[in-house]
Amino acid sequence: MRRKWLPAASVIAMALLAQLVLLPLFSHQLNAANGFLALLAVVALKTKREWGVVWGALLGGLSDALFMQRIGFHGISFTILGYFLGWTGGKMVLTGIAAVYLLSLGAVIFDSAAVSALFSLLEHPLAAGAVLPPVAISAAVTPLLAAGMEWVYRAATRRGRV
Amino acid sequence: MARTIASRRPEILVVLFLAGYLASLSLQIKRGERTLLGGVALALFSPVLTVFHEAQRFTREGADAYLWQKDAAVRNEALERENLFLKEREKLYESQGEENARLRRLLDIPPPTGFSLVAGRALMRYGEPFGRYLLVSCDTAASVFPNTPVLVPEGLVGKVQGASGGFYRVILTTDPSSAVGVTCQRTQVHGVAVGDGRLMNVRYVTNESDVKEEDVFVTSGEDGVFPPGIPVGTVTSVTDGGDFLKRIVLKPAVSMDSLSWVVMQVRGHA
Repeated sequence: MRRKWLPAASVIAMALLAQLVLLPLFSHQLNAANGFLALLAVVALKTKREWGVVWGALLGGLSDALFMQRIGFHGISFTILGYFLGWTGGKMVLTGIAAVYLLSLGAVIFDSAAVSALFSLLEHPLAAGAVLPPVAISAAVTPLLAAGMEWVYRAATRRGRV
Repeated sequence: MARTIASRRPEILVVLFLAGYLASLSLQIKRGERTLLGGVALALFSPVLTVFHEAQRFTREGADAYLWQKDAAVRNEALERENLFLKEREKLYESQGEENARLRRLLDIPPPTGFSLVAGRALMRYGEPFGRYLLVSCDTAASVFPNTPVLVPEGLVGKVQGASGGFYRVILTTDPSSAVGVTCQRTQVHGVAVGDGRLMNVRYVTNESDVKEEDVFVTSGEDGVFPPGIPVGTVTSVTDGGDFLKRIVLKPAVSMDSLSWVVMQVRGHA
């Protein structure tokens, strides 16, 4: 029986589980890692650009609702990321989990830089000392999360084909 | 035109979403939190947000409760161990307190003139069934000679028979070879208390003498060994004998089974 929904449901469940259970358990900062960014990295690489944009806009809004005072910072960043990840997924054949890891690492860096820049432009300037430590933690954890999700996605795809 | 739009659909979507988010941000920042767009966005995400917050709170509180319970269990175990230790120590202190009280009572014994008291620890009884001896340990600079009286606040225990190092062999008053000059405290009838192993017999008291049960015999001092006035025992039975002498049985004033500390009356100053 072919179950198309299983891989996507698995990674979404994993992102929610990581964001809701694991991160609160191991860190008092909810934004120590961004499960939605990891989810975007995994999903957008497997879809077309327009769906990457939609996923990015949706997950970015969700991230803003969770982490930020205002809606839009992550929304903008994720929308752009969704587009480029969708474009990358369409242009390249990515076979290894390492590729997802590296792309999600780049996504974390881009997202942090974009959100920091937007925040500095629209709200008030941010001190580098305040931004870098959480970004470093997120850069360490989020790509691992994305790699784990990719592994789960592949396992669920294999199981869905049974 | 339509084909161009269709082929550029992703880029158009990007521009639209970016414009929307930028507009949202601008409005929120310009007018504060209660903007229409911000309100719509929040209304869209607020159920999800609430679920997120509740789930996060549930997870954190559950983990905290678990950790607190685990911590409480560990502390409980530590307190139980400490309680056990303290109970044992309390028992030790109780026995030390009792010993202290016994020693204080020993110190309250007034030594006769020309005597001083030396305390010693009663280690063990031995020699049964042929003899009744007590081994006493005493670290003293005073010279404890044979025949030195040994007593406790309740009465006479015996006398020192030999010494080796800091240990003294005390022959108890209940030993069959022990003899103590005694006198009845009530009627001043004199006799000699001889041990029979467990009790004592008072000999050489004529049938005409006035001795009754419950009379207390004390040392008379006539034997030249024991100072007068030390309780020796209480009469438990008295009968007239066919040889004109009474058969008097004394129960020792001292319970020889429960001796822990004794004092020796040493001549001179210890």
